[in-house]
Amino acid sequence: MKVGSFEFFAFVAAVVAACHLYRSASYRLAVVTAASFLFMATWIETPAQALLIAGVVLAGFVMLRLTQSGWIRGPIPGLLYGAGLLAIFMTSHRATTSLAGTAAPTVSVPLLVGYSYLMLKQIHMLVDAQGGRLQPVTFLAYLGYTCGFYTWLSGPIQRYDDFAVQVRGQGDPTSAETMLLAIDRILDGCFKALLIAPWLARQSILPPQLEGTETLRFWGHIAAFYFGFYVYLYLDFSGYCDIVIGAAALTGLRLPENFRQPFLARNLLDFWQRWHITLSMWLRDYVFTFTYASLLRTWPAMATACATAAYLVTFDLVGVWHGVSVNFVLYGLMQGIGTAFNHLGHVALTRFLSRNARRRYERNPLIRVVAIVVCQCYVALAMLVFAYPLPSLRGVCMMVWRRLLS
Amino acid sequence: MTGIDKRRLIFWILCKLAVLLALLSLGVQVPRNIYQGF
Repeated sequence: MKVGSFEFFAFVAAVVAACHLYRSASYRLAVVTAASFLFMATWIETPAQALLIAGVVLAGFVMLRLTQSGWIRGPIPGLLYGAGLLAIFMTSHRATTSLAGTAAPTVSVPLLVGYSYLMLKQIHMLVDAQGGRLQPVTFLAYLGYTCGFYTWLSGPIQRYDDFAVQVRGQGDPTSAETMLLAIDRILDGCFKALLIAPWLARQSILPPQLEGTETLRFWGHIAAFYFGFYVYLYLDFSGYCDIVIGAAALTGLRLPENFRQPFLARNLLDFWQRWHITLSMWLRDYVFTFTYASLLRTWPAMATACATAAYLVTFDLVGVWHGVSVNFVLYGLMQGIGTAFNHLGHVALTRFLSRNARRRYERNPLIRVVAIVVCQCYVALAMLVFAYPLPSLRGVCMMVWRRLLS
Repeated sequence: MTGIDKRRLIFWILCKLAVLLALLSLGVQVPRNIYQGF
């Protein structure tokens, strides 16, 4: 059942109606959890896939209970469990080649992406439980959180504490204003994801025999191709988020925002605070901070080098998380190098400019515009590497090169 | 939540819904797997 399809909206309407039948937090949680299993079942194609998902969900709860009750001490069991999850994920990825590859996937891509989000939620719960930061979790709340149908396919990645607070408050019926705003949000998402994004995707495809066309037309097509996937992905993904945030709000659940004007980002660090925000926050808390702290313990006098290395590791993981292919590794490398470069630039500015001079530099409108343009061009290039097979990108580069020389 | 003109919001929702349904029924939508997987 695709998010944005007629079946999805009929399903959401039925869930919302069922949720409003009885004023009880546990009842609503049970309805949403049962609905989530139904939703997941529409994506599962074989009994083996069902067993895998069910096994990972149950194993996660057992690990969580053992951690919270003190049976599991130290980080080793949690790390081994996380490595096991990652191994299953990577093996499945290998079976599907890659999103940008040519072979037909043997496992549906949405199911894999859903599994990856389940993995991220479980790691968050286990790490926080290990640190004593997670409140006691009931089995129903655990299922509702890890399998919630709103966020199953592509996030946003809500934190458990935020989820638990809202689930407890779900006994109150949602107000008419909240319902109207939620419906309005869903419609905005439909416009973005169902209409504008596909239309834009079609416009950004390079026509055959582009080389012989007039100059203005040629460069117009190249520009549409260059920025096409980036803008398409924003509209598709943020539209999807609008739909699920609105749908969740109809049952009284407030999901975190995932996008905040990414086209205004002036550098890559700024970009990742505006794009897929919940994944960025997850990476900051569970990959970057952990890597940086580990490196700093070993080399305490080299804070800048440690931070640079931590950025590289974090964003390489982002690349590989999307799949094991040259495209995704290159994408992660581009993001890692870009963020590490930004960090070094920030350190240099702090070191060589006074506070006032730095403030003037940061507020200079010309510098701001140039920084935004450079950042957006770099992100669009990384997105091209993410989306297209490398031989076709090479073909486009050669065509542009020939045009520049002619 | 205060300060929301409910009638205006309902009007906008109905307008958006009408335009969305009209455009979708005209076949503006194209297959979503245009980028091999997304």
